Amino acid sequence: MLDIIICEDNKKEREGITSFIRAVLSEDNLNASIVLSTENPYDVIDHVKNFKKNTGIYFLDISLKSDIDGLNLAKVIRKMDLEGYIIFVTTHSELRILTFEYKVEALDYIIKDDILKVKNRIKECLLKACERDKESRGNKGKSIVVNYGSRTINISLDDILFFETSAKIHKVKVHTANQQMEFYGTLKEIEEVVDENFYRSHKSYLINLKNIKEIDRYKKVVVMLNGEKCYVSSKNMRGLLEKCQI
Amino acid sequence: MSDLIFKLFNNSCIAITIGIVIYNLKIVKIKKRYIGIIVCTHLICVYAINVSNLKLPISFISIVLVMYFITREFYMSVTSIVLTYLITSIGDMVTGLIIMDVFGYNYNIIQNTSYIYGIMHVMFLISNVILSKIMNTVFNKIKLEHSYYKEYIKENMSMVIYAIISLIVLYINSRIAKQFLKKSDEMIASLNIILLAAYFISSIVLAYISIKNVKRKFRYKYKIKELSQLKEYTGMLEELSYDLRKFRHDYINILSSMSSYIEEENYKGLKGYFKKVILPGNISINEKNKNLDLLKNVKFMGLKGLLSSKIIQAQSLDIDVYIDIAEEIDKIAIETIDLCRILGILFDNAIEATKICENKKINFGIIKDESYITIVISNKCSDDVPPMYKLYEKGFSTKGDNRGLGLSIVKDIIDNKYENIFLNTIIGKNNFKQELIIDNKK
Repeated sequence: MLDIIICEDNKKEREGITSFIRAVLSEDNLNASIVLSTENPYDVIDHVKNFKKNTGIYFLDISLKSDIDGLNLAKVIRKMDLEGYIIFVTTHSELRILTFEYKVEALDYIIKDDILKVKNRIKECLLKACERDKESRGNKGKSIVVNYGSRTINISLDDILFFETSAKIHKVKVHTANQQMEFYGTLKEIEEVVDENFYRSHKSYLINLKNIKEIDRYKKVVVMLNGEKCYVSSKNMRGLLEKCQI
Repeated sequence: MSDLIFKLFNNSCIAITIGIVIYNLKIVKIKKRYIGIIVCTHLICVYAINVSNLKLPISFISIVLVMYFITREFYMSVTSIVLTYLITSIGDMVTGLIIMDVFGYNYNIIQNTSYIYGIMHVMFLISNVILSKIMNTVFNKIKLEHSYYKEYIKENMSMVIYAIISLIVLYINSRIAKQFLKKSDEMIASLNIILLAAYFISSIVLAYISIKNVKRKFRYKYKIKELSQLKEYTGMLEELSYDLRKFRHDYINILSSMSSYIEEENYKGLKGYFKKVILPGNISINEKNKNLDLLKNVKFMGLKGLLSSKIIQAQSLDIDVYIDIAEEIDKIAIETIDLCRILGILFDNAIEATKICENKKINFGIIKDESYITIVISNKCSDDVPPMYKLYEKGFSTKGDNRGLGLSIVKDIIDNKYENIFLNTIIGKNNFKQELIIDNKK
């Protein structure tokens, strides 16, 4: 069940959005309900702090008749509702697509200058949020968490090909089929958090045995599913072969 | 028989010394097992060449060739070996001084007493290992950046020639000095060593000054580039200003026409006028530059210039550029010159990738979040992006031969200089995104 909260300072627009969402909810039989529709951002904060029961879907206008704007409101909400789906309703001139994405991990944005498209976009966003919510409930696999300030990124262990570290600095790089991400850490720390599918084949490599394509015993190299090569030190080669039961 | 063994021992000492010094200087990254090949090369040259005066020169050339085959870096290999030979010459002098002055052995005695000669070679090895470690620390202090090295050498050809000439002079000198030593003319030999020491110290000072000079030249060249980019930027702002004036002029004309229709209460005429003039959008402001004003939040002149230059370049290729810089950026834990270099390369890559697509779009943003600054460049691209690790390989390029250094340079700069910067690459459906995350805490 998802709780929908709307915050918009223009009364006519707010009533329009609220009634339209209500229509979509019943039409498409979505597992969500409107719990709050207000022009006052502090009401929203109060509700989320004290009365929040479920993950929320938040439709926030950027310019509110208050001392905090939609973006700051979103920051406060994000701290209290880590999985909530935030959707900004904004004019063209206030559009900050990347800021929305990186600062508060917004789901999407709706441009209200484009009156004909607004209703479609609201529907799209509701469907997207419900879809994502269903997915995240089903997906209970283990993952590692990478932090950059207030930004949190989850990478599921199954997707990871390997971890790599550079000798000089305490930085670790995680490789998946479509991403490469760096963060502070050591392979030792990571070894303690991952499961037994991961093997420390070399002082600079921690590889996911499930995603190995082939092992070259003589060159002492493992080729992962995407073609990337990882080193294996001589003393760890035997352990590797044992673990892969060769 | 024991004579041969001693000779082998001495020559091996020298060969191993050369290997260790090359490894310790760390000018080129070379694996320990390849050092073995270099050691053997030297030994082969020493035994194969019978003319005594040609042994070292031929060994020098052979080792350069071997290193080039292993590392594929010509300039660095030559520098590495020139420095190695220079250092071993110093080590030679130091060892000689210690054995002759401190222990008071005469040159002839040394040559003829095998165990003393052997010990001298071991001391040679030890002193050179120490010297090479010292040189390595000195290099780390000067912070010779790998990625700029080739340009340093090209600017500094005279230094290179000076170094090679020094080496040749030293070599000839040492051969001549040995003649003096044989005749027990130790006074002259010691004087010679002192003279050479003075020569060395002045050479090192010269080298230091010249490196600083090249660094200064670099900064100057960079400032000139920055200036031309800022000129481009002001040109763009002036165009924007002109566009705005035109727009305002047209707008006022239209309003006054409309007001006269309204005064006459000619609503039919008003309706017609509206449909004819306003709806079709004849008076539109030039859409292209609408976001450029966000660059005002970038408080670093060099960065502002570079970004505007790249954005203008992209727009001239019909690429839609979206910019999001919502907060002021006035402090960043990376040198502006490095940031400009990195972003220049990332932008060039984005432009090249998206200009061949139907949907040409680049998103660029700088986002401040707690102590982190995230710079994002993402572009729409075609389906067939090569696997990510290949993109970072030196020399790999989808755009033809003799290219493909860009991303490896970016990696070089970040890995060697900055602990607090992360480069993330994310490939989505027809979308390629690079995130440069800078931790401002440090």
